[in-house]
Amino acid sequence: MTRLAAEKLTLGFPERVLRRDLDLAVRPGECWAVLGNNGSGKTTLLHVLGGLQPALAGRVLLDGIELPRVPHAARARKIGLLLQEEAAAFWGTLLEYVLLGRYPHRRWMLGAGAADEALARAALERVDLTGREARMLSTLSGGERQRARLALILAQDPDVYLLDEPLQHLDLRHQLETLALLRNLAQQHGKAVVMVLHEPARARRVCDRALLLFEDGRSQSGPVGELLAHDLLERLYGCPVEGA
Amino acid sequence: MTLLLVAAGAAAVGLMAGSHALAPAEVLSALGAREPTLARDIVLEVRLPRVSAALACGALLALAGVLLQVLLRNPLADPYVLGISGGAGLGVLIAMLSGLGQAVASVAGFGGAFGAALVVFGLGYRAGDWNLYRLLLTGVVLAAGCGALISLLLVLAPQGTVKGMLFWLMGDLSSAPGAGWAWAVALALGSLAVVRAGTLNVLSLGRLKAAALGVPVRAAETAIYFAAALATVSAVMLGGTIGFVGLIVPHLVRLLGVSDLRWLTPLAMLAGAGFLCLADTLARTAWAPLQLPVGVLTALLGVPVMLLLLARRPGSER
Repeated sequence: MTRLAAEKLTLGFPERVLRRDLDLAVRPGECWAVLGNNGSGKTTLLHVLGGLQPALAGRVLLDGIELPRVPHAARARKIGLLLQEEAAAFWGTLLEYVLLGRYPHRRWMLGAGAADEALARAALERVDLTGREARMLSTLSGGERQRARLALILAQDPDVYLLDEPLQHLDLRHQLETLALLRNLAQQHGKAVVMVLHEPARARRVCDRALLLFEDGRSQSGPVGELLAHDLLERLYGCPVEGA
Repeated sequence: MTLLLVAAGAAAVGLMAGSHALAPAEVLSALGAREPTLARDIVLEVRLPRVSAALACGALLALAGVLLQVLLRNPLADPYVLGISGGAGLGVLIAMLSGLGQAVASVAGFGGAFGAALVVFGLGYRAGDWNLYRLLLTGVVLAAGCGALISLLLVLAPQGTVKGMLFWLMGDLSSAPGAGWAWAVALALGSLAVVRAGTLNVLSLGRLKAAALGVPVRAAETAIYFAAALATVSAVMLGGTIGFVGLIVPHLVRLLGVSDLRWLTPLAMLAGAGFLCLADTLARTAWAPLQLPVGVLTALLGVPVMLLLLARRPGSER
């Protein structure tokens, strides 16, 4: 069964098409890496898959239903999206921030309940931020804030995780722990994980499938073992990739 | 609770203080009196309407400030950023210059204010989507244009009417109309904002993140815009363009450690109500019998309070 599917997608903006005829089928329990050069359409793809931006052509299906037909809150209960950047500063504490991940699950008039808070605290524990709940988000370091953003999506508890550069700002230890966490989400909890990565070695470590977005507008998907081969990576990045 | 006491205390001081000072017991007996007495006339006919107008006006300005800071994701947003004060000022001043009465001036101000809000909305919301920078810029440009026209009117106006115009422009509650409708607007919009505070909290993360968390962003932003515009227009109709309340009161409440909009919204409204009521009491008593425009007092009180709070919280980005 396909959790999230893209059919014949054309991605980009009216003045610039980034990619044509892109197909993708993500199943529960799969962990995907999306790789490509800067400007190849990785972020745009995630935004289209997450329903934040329409495709120029083609369609996205969530559990077999066309994404625009899924109500906003229902979509957010199923798809969690880690953005590459968050535009706004948040004025509250770390716990208040992570609790916002429970928004799609709340009844419209009620605030967060005890169960929501328990989930938020558990999410903070999974990203190694226990003990900092009362800190203002704005006082955390860049890496801590990145883990807070991951915790918000863990608290959101979606079926599909779309993660745009989840390892940015993280030190080595937290990069490895985050990759293990994401792999666990897919393998142990049946979540579908799609993440934009810049390091093929990291992708090999946790992902079972990859999507390569080439400069010429073509794309290729398949098992990591086949796709992250030396020659394909050199074509993908347009440079020698010894040791990558 | 403290802010509720502050607002109630401000209202009590407003009822007691004046050229004929009244003791708390006199105010209480005046409020319950059936027979006409001097104290009853002072409290019910003069001070209570003005205190009521100040409370409602302050609550509305603070609410508009909270909503616009969420909408524009900009801590410097205040109720007048949408050009509403400029539009209202132009309408009222043209009516004053034409020698029309208070009622017509109010209608002209209302028309000017809502006209400005609609122009800014029309230019900021194009092709079915918002552009917050264009919205902000349109508001600033429109306010500058209205400001220039207002200056022109002040230069051309006969000497006798200039003082009244200046008082209105600086914010003045001395001729505020009955505030019952403003209370209704404040309570309705405030309740709505509290009920939908979860959505406001998520929107403060930015449009994309809010959309990713299931907020129908365009509809929510349109609702916030018109709620803020209605709150601002209502406040302007009560007291002219009273500055500073909408900008600093939300920040004051945040500096007290409240950021969840479920609490921040009603607390800011209470703080705004209490603050403006105290400022207005000072405005009419500090240099009695001369009455100052309350807008001057809000700035004189607000600036040091804000600077003090900022100094006490070094390193805070709030």
